[in-house]
Amino acid sequence: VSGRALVVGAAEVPYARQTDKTTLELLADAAELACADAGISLGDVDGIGVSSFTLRPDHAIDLAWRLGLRVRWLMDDSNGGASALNLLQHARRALEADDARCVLLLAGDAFGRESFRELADEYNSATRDHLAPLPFGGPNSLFALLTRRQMAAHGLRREDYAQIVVAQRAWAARNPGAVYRTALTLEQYLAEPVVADPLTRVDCVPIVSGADAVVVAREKERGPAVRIRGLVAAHNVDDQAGSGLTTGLAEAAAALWHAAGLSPADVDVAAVYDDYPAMVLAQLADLGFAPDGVPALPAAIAAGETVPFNTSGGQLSAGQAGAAGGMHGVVEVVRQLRGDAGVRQIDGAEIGLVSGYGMVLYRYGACANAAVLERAE
Amino acid sequence: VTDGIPVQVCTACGSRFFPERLACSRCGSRRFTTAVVTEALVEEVTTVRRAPGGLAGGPVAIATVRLGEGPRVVARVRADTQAGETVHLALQGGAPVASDEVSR
Repeated sequence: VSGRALVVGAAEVPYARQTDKTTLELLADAAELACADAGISLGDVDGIGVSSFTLRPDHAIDLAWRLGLRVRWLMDDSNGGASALNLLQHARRALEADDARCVLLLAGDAFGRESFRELADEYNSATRDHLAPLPFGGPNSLFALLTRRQMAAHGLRREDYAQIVVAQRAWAARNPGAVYRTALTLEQYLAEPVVADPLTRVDCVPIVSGADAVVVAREKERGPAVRIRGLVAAHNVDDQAGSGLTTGLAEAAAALWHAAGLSPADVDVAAVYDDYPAMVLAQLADLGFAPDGVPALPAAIAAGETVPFNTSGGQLSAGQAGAAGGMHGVVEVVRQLRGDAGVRQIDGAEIGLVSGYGMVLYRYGACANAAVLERAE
Repeated sequence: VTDGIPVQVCTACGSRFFPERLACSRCGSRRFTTAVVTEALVEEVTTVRRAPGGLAGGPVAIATVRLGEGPRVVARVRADTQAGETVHLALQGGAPVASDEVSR
């Protein structure tokens, strides 16, 4: 197991539906919290990477400047739900190559209602030119279509998707940083207002403002650290021409488990990118967490027989702070592996999995990546 | 509004694309011609009822439609459209729209 890069700190700025802070301020708050968690000062940082939709016109170097950092490694990653693991994939190698010794990875966004609508309509040129003029109302409609395909392919009903949302909401009750913490029953789930059938309000990731950060370094200062046992990516695997019911993880999973020297059964806690419940099912299956197939997953989730996943409540309950969506799961799994997850701590969690997914180019997400992480004393 | 959807056809291998690509994902060629496709098969439909910033024109029916054996595109369709139907498409301001929806 290679392992010079260690995740030594993780933090999340509490998510909120509304914020008075700018994106730069939220990212700075996340930087401060993550450094404190790692037991280092900002001045120890010699590399910085950032992912944010609303940072423009600023860049990673603006953030370094405003934070007073001199760095020798610098990265912007604009690839949404895949950006956190993209950044970690690069940071890991930078540390191994001694291009940097202590890297701060940040992700976050501050949204107003109007700025989110603009982002949804101008997400990329294909969206701006061919979806926004429909109008399509943002990605919810595309995942409504995808969910219909998944329901038809696997014989799933709305009650099946409810199991994911209800289970994650139960975790959120134990996370003071989650935006939606009130328990949800099956009856309440089924009575939620429709956004784009079959999706209701609670099936669509709620947009919030906030930021997440991790510190990746060669050495740890405080508490247990987290080692990267494997990290793989597979992007644009089907040219947006298929069903979207499998992600790039389906082809990358074998390499992930081989690199980690582990199997899905070894995982104690997982964070699966959850913009929509259908994608949770898809990724769990792609990664090998559905030995009895997708149709059996909802009942297994309801019975607590799957790996514990999205223990923060996931984005569906905690919220999606824009480009922080991918980092949210990294922070939660790092907290779990370091024993910092408070009342939602999975006892003895040693092996964690995080997946990233996203960048809806036209019909569904084109990016997918995943990492297997391990507690390192 | 123009009738049909302009689809890129790779001159080397015949693969078809929408939205526009820079190179063929099957053979790598950068040479394309354009074919206008008017008929599409509806695969799934959803009605969008809520959207960030609201929907000025009210609920919108959106469908995955397939252009023959070619690409799947996202189109606006009439509210009562069902999966399995064939629709006639036009391009309105860049958006594929069923012809009977164009006047909306």
